[in-house]
Amino acid sequence: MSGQLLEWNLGTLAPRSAGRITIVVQTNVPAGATLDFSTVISTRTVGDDPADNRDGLQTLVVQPPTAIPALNGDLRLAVRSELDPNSRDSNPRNGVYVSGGTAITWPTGEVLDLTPRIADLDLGSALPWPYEYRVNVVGWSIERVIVNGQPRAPYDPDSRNRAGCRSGRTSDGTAKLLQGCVYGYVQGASREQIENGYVPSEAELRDQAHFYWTQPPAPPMRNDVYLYTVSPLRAVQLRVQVEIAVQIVNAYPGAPIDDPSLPPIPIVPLPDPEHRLLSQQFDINLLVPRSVIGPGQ
Amino acid sequence: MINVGTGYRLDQLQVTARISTSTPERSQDLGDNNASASIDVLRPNVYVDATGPSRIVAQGSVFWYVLDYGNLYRSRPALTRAAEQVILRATLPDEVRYAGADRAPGR
Repeated sequence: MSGQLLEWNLGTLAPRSAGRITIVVQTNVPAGATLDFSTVISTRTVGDDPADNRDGLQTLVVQPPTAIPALNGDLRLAVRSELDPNSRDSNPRNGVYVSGGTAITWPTGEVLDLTPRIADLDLGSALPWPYEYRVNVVGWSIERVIVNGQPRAPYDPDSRNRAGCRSGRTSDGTAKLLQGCVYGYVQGASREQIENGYVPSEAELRDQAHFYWTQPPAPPMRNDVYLYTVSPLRAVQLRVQVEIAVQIVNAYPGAPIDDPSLPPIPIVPLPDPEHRLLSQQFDINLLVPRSVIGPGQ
Repeated sequence: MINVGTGYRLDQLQVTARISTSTPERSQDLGDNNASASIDVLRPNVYVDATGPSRIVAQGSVFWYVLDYGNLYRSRPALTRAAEQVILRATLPDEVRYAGADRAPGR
């Protein structure tokens, strides 16, 4: 090492060979400083194109974050029907569909299995090293059902006079903000799980929420279904909430002592994560029952 | 011996040769009087990419830079030539202290 210049004699690099060097550094400059780093590679063999022989980057030194920023994201619905032929084949995943927006079309007389999916979770700009967001979904809820233009809580008596929240997958018990009937979110334990576009399996939809709309009278139905009669046949709405816990952690607390095994340390807020809600109203455009539609229609 | 200039950008050299004589040849024998050949041009292409945090917190941060380097003629990898006497240099910011590297620098 010569001052701030590091040099490696790499000898001969074979065609299509590659390597990586990690340089660990430490600094204690105050916020506002800018650190400039540069690197250059050269060879004595003629014919080298120098266009990609240099690189550099700047690192800004900033104050540690002190608050969780606004959280944004869109919700979609993953839906399934047991009457769908894809739900009856040997493939356990091809019978679940994720809505492209906030409206779906559904036949009356058919149980709708549904669960929300978070799309485009946005926590603002990335945090400075070594901080990261630790995020998990604590649960989701059906906040409100709007049938025949009338909003009602999901635990209010439905059209067969059955009240209370229907059974289903339970949340982790830490929800603080959810309203209505609460369920467990599928694959929401980490930011990676939330953002990886996971589509639940048909089996995972079985213990989520179930809805059934039909024209009067209300037919007999299993107990875990919210059943509503609609007259006349028109769109209904569901308002869904997803509760997310967010905390800023030091993701690399072992870096100063070169110990990568140390677990992340919560930084902000303390002692518990901050909870945020994502809410979305979905339009369910109802159609006549599937059995009434003739072949080719 | 052919020397290719360092500015030569094509991936092949085309060589043509023609032989002739003042003695008359039959027309059907002229077909082998011309020949051509192409030669692939091999070249090295050393490269380096640096990655590191865009922002760090001001409280005695330890962090790292990663240098990815190699030798690859990107548009025609099969025509990459070995690169000899390769030297990689990194210039650290004045405000940081070198703590170590997984491959020790020569100086």
